Amino acid sequence: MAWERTSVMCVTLGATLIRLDQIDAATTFAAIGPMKMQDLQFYNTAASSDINAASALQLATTIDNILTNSYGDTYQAGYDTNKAIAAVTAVMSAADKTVENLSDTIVSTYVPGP
Amino acid sequence: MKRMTRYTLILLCMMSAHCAFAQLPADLSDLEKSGLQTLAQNPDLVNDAAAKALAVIKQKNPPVYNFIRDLNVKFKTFQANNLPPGLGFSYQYNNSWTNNTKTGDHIFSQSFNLNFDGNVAFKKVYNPVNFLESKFVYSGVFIWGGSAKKNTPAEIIQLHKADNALFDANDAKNAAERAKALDEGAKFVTLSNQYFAGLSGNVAYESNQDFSKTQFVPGLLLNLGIKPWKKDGALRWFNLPDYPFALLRWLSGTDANFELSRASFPSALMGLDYVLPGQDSLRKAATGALDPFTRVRFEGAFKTKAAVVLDQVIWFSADYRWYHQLAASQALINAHIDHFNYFTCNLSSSNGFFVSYSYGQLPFDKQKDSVYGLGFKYDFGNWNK
Repeated sequence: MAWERTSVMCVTLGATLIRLDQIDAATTFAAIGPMKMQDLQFYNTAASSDINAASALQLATTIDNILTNSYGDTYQAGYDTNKAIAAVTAVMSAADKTVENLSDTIVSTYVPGP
Repeated sequence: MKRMTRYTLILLCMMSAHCAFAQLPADLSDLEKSGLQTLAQNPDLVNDAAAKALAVIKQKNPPVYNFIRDLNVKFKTFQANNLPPGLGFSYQYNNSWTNNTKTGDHIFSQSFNLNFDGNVAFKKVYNPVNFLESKFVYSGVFIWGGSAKKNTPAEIIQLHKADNALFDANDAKNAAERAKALDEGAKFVTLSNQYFAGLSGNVAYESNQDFSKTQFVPGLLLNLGIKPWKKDGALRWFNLPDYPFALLRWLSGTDANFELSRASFPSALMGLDYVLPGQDSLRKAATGALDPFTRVRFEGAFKTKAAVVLDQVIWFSADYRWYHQLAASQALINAHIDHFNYFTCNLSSSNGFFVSYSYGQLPFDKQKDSVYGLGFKYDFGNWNK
């Protein structure tokens, strides 16, 4: 999988991160994929892991809400809210994971809506 | 294999560069000494070599590569007071197992976490942040709100169109079209404010880098957070630390209006620790014993966008930590080891540039230090060659 403009989930994730003020609104689609979690607003490299883990969980919950309600996405077979949030939180808790890594997890966790 | 061995040897040589400002062997030539000193004062060079070594390890042994990558080791230069710069590294490893239960608009999340975090200078006297922490945490977290309105299929199609229009506008660097696409998308993504309260129990092992001071720390932690996601809601006006940055964003043209960030609301945690000191010569010298003690602690963290310069977002990050021993004896108060304050902040961009400032003392630091930093970060988990 890759960070591609033709992927609905990649475009959805990029736009969602912009809407949640995690990325500057003027960022091009191509520039978002290689960004690391520590380059997003929620990840504070000066703070302890307790603070960052809480922020990651909070944001993963909000992203799950947006994907399932605003975009009408459903879960891939074997996934539910619990597993989806856990999978997304795990990626977001790692400073060096990229948005492309996050999109890979999202693609394997959610089925795009209509 | 030969290439991997060569890179590993180069890396080991670089890691031993601390001798450049410690005790250099007498038989080294001036050129060799100069080379070692250059390495000691250029963590970027070491990071670059380490990245290349890891790229080779990635091909040969992916599980070893994954572990080293997840350890987040970064070589860096330490500088405190009038001491010369010293080479060292920081590491951070996090792993967690989580279970989330969603009911209506709230979620109860339980997790087990394993964390390793610390700073190591190759010559310990140069380490101003001489603190290693290994921790196991159980946490139960309640999250309320952050709910999104459910869209109809027709609205979802409109939302996808707005997303594509947003990225078309960004490619064309068309600010007016971007604003239009954002406004259009915002009609279909409406969120409620989100509140977060977590209670966790942890067991930590704290030490300095040579383990001459150690302590075992079980504790309780209360973690609080708010995200005023509701558009035009009043809660965002309580994001007090963001006011100067909102002004800066407005004056620098980053934001069209004076607008407080919804995402940057500060986070805080409060903790109660029962500390069982293992080895602590300062404490033993002050009190003649290493009795267990109860400690309260507080941490507040804040990160916001300061400005966008040449297409690079400049983030401002800050963190304040406070530790205070309850019912400390007069001897501990006189020795100034009954409480510790530590503040750190930095301006950093996604291209790796950063400027940082730290002040204060963490448990085990010998004295309060002001530490300035300036440089580039390089994470060797993303070497693509």
